[in-house]
Amino acid sequence: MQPPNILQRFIPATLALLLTLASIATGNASGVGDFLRRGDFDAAVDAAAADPDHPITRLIQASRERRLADADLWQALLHYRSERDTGKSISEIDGEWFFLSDNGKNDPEKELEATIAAFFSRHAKPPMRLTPYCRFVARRHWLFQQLGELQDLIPKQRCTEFERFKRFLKPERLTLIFPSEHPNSPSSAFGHTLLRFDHANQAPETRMLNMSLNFAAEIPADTSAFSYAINGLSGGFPGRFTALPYHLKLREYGQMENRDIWEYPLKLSQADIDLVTRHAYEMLIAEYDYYFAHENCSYHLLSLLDVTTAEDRLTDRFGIWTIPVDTIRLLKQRDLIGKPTFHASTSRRIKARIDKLPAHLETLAYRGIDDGVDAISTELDRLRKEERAAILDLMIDYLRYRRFLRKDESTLTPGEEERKVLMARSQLGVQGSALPVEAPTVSPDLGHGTGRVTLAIDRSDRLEVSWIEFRPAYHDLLDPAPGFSRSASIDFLGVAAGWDDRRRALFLKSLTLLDIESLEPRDRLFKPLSWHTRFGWHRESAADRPRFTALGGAGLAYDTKVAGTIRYLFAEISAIHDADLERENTLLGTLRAGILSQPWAGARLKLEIMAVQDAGNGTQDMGGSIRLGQALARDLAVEAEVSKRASSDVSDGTIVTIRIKQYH
Amino acid sequence: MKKITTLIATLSIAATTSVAFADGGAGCGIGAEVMKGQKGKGPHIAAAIINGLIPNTFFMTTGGGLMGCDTTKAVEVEQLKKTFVASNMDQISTDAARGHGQHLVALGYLMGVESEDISSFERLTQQRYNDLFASADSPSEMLDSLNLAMRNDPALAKYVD
Repeated sequence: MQPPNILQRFIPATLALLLTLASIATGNASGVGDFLRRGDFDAAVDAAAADPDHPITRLIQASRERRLADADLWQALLHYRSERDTGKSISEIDGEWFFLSDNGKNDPEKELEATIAAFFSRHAKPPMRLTPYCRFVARRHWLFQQLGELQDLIPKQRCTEFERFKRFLKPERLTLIFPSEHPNSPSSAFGHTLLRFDHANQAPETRMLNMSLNFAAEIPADTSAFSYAINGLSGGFPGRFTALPYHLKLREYGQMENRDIWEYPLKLSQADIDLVTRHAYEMLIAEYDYYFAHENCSYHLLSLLDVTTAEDRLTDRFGIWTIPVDTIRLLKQRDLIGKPTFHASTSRRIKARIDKLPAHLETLAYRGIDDGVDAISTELDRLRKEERAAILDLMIDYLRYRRFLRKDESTLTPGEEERKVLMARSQLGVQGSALPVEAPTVSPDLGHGTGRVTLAIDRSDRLEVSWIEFRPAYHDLLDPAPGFSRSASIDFLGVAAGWDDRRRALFLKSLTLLDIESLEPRDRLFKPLSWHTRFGWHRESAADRPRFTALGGAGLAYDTKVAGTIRYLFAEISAIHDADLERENTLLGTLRAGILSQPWAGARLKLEIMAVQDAGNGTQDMGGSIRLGQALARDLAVEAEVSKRASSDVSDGTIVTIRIKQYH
Repeated sequence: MKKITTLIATLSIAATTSVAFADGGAGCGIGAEVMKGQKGKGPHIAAAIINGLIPNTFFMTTGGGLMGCDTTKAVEVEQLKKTFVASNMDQISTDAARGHGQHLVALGYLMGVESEDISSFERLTQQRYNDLFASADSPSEMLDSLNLAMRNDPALAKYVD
């Protein structure tokens, strides 16, 4: 008798084995499906790993072989930064729904694998409207390129929203927009950068219809100034990208905040523009911790462009601080940016209109502004139509400007007077034309470097000191003027070390936390208040104890129209702590008057006198200084100063200071 | 802690507003809101947008209010026009009083006017300033008057259907 049992046992055994294998396979397939549905992509990767033929596994295998997680562009797309001490990659992005892996922020490889798995998902996990496939278009585009034919393993999805976004944007040119500095507002003291998506061959006036991309901190309306400063510096605010039609941003900058705007065209290929557009789409849902100093708006805007230079990222150059104009300079260095066009602020345009008017018409216009257009109607009627138009144009611009100074609901619609003037203007039948406004001769990117090293000597009866100062930012009133506002001075974190020749001692001469001065000239129409604030320590020699000063003051400044000269008067109060004084803590009141001038090319001159009253012991003192600076090159200047310090302790007599300043 | 609260708040706003502007049948996005014919609605929309009350993804996702709309080119331009006018009535009317200006030119192009006729468009808005801006209460009234004015102008009639 044959033993049919073997066969009998074999077949069922094989069948059983086949069934088990089948159930493992299908069991895992449905496992992966479940995980994909739940949005748990790490688990989906692990579940798929059990089956080497699973498309997810095959793709991940290929990505490992090609070391895609280490690729420059993957690192740039996810904004990974290597930690200094550990060398580990950590993403600068904080919003958790930007990452598909639970540990995506800290693990580029896990994130890449989770991304591959996620592309298989046909489910959008709320609050997201889109599947990962359709959300992470830049990642997908690049991965498909890298994976070649293997991309066919991923079932295609139609991403209508992105298609619509791209069609709506029609990005053929990218423009970097730089609204310039506005010292009266701390967060915009250094200017700001945003991006605009332009089309080729469009009329310049239509560019305002294009989409712009802006990065900003989201600051709750009820934030106190203190909270604003602390959170702004320490990453306490969330920051994100927003996409808005440029005409809305224009309202904000051009009209509401009254800033000059520079537009720099970016030199990028269409492929790079498409890459930036795809990445911008992804970034519109990301969130960052907003740091006022380092990871601020221009840093993140620059990081968007990093994808075009992934092997040598632009943002690598910015460590502790990012000053917007420096990002523009870096782009210039890398030949990624062209010559800018200039768009004047409202106040600059108004001043241009005034300059065009002969004096008697200027006076008439001021009367119209003060007393209303009806009050000057008889005089207006006597004028030629073009002259009437010029006066009304000035009134229109100024009334509008004044309306925007009020920060309430009424700013949104013209008041009765404005409407009257507009009506009168329309009835003249004189068609206006573009107002020629003189642009600054030097654009912001061509000014001196924002960091400064100063070598100097102080000499007087009492002093024989040489010193060196490092000032990381930004520009003061004696630094070379081109490229900067003539009337704003911003100094941050300047530190100086000195060598006292008389006492043969090295000493810390000064630490300036901040010194900001705004010297805005007033005239018939514009009446800004100048202001000054300073916090820091300083001393003159090794024999002195450091004096801490906390200063605040306001002033009035006026233009003289001669050699760009401004004359000014400040009243300041300083809280002083000085161990050399009889009363260590005291209050000083200062009255300071001077002129600031640009007498010849490259020169800046400041003459100042001051009277200081010590509130503690009632003593008074007078002081004064003459400072003359001369630019020798864009990044090199020399300065000579003769001063008598008004000080309530040691009398230093007349001090002569010579400085050599280099910028970088 | 504050960060988390802000996060939750932001997410909720994003979630609810994205539902409000969701695809599939909610109408033509902001266009409808903007054109409700109420006085001063336009500027308030602009203010709302600037103040971030409308989510940052709005323009990205809805193409300026196109979500759920028939996406023909004509409708897209129509929406663009309405949003632009609603947010910039102020500037457009100032330019029109002068018969010249950036915003006015942009509007001309949005109306389909070609570059050689833009100057005539600007002149027309100045001539018809009263109808367009003084008496019009809302952006849609202004656009209606503008269409009428263009139709009756020999140089510009060809741009209105």
